[in-house]
Amino acid sequence: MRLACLFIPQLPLQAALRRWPELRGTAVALTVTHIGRDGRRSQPRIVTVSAEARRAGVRPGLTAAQGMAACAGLSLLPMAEVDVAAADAALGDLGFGFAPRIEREPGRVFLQVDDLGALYPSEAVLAQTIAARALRVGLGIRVAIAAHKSIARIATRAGERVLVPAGGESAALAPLPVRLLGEPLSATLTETFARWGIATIGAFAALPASEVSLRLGTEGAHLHRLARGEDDEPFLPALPVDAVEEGLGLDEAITELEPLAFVLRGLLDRVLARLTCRTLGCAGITLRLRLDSRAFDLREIQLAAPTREAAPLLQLVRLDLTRRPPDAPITELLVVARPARVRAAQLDLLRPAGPAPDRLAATIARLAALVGPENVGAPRCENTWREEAVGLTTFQLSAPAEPARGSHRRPRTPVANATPPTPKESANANAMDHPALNIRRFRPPEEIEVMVGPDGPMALRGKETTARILVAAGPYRLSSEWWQSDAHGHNGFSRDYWDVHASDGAIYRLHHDRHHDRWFLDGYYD
Amino acid sequence: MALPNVKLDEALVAELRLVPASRLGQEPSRPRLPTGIRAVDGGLGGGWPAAALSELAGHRSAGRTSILYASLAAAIARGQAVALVDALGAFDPRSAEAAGIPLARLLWIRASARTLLPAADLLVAAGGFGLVAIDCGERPPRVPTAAWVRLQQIAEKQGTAVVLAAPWRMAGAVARAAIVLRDARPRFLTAGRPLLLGLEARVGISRGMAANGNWGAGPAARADADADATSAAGGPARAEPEADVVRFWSRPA
Repeated sequence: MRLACLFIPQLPLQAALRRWPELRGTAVALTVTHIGRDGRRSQPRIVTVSAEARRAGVRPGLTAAQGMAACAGLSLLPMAEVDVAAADAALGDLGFGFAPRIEREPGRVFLQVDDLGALYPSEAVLAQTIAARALRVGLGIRVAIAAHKSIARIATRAGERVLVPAGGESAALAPLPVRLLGEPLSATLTETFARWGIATIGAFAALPASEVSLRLGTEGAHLHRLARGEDDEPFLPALPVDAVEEGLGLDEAITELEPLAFVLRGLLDRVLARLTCRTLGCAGITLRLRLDSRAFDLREIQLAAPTREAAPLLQLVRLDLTRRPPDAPITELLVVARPARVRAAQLDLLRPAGPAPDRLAATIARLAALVGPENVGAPRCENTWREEAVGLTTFQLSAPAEPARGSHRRPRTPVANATPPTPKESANANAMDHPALNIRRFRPPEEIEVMVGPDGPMALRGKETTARILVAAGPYRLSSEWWQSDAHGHNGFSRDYWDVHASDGAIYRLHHDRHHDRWFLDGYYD
Repeated sequence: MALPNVKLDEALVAELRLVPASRLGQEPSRPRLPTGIRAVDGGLGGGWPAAALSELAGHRSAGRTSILYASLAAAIARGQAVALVDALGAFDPRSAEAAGIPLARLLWIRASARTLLPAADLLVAAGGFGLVAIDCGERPPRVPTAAWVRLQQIAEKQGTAVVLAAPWRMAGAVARAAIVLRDARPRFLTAGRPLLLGLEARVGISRGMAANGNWGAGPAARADADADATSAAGGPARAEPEADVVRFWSRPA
């Protein structure tokens, strides 16, 4: 078995630099502020520094002011647990891009790479590819490949790309400093090794095992076996979690949409990059906003089909925030993305090619952002007798295309011994001479005044329609929902419908609400 | 002095792909999207031109909605993806089902006057749709000609047929085909209490492919132009333009 170990050195710093990628290569220090028992905040102290800051003389333990004094161009960033968790999760997503199951440790991921030999010409190329893909999710990682988990773990402390050949573990570890056996080694062992003059792992491995066990105890015996390339730590991989999260704490509460959208765009880009690592798309997100009032604002954004584009997601979030602004300024954001497979378009030789599912999803998302998500979808007849009712459901490109019930299309009956149809006749075989007459609805139905005579309505007047009624067909009575009462105590509704030919040339459909004695214009036949 | 009559070298014409003026009216043959209505398909030369902008005009109760729904149903039956951009949300699912539209296969967008054309743009530009119908409603928005030209170009590029339904023609010469419905008359059964049977209208082809393969004003528009010229010269009253009659039934026949 060959195992790859992916390691994020200086995890808190890398996590912060994922948020501020423009600070890479500059002097950066992370600070933490403690709150004492008396409730007073301590001075911010530096906990991690970048290589550039270290070269300028900034060290962990200094106060922020001391750090600024040592390096004038030092950037001080607060250490945020949510950033560390996101970076750790991003490493996991990276691992899932190469293996279906991985084992996770804080700042590390282990995955089995035996099967990847068919895809990559060598382990060196594989390690390089993994590191390159890690940069896409904002992480600079070390990669080591070995036959044993602990050996791979030690190797990641030694260099950027380390390949330990099978059976050559002891030889590969021998020249490395003995301090790499631990992370870090205990102070006792460090002092002991210094007293004994043991500087390398090879020198430690050469010591007799029984003496090491006697003098250094269980911990020393374990490290001695590792130094000799012996490792029995099991590899325990697990399946990926369902959701991908990225969060962000804000230094100052946000009250306006534009700055919030700017911040959200970064979160969405990172989430989608992680999903792309796993060759997945995003089927929707849950946006959790922590408000200044310590309350939470939860929003669900659903997509018609998984997508890998941030723009439609951001548009839908902006639309949702515009329609329903938060009650208080926002201090923290968390985006939880639901992963889903981006469906491949299976072409059909017998059908015209339609829009690709992911492109269709992006188009529907843009349309939803333009006209509102409640105005895009496939229409649906509602389960009610109210004629004007209409619902919306998810548009399915792959739904069956047979004509619906009540269709006017009728198949031609074959006639025995008939001559075969010409191509033109075949083309016209399904042509209709008498297509269905459809109705256009006014939504909502327009209340009108109607002059009623002995034979029914004689004239109508609305906001924009005034006409004499030439012919009135009806009434067609429709009553339903008797199990429900309205505010006036009426059970359900009772309507008399009329189809009328008006003097303006149109054929209207109108109804008389018998409970409330009101007339409404439902639409016209067209 | 008469201008010299120079005959172009045939090889040069072929190399530069020059089109003689006598053939400028001819369009390359284009696939057709039948509506399934004989009177309409006959006038259009087989159906709506694919990858082009077409118009369907008619006032209230002239039949334009029924022709539009029949076009959508026919496109879905052929396996094409279709969408309807609806300016007023006037779509009625029950009567659309009766017209043969499987509702789950229709992408319905309820737009406003402001978002009608941007929504249509998005759909056509996305590609993959066989037919995009734009129902402009009662009061279509005022749209500059450049916007129609742009929509026609996108439709041509993506291979999508775009049908624009409005009370009157809007796209002018940009539309490759145009149908104008006129002289609509309802049909009522009057034995006893009246019963609405259907509607009858005349289908005038205002722009389309003529029998000789030339594009241009259709028989209805040409008849109008001839009649106008005749009456302006003091001739007889304008003749009725050629048109087919289409009958719509409000109940299954």
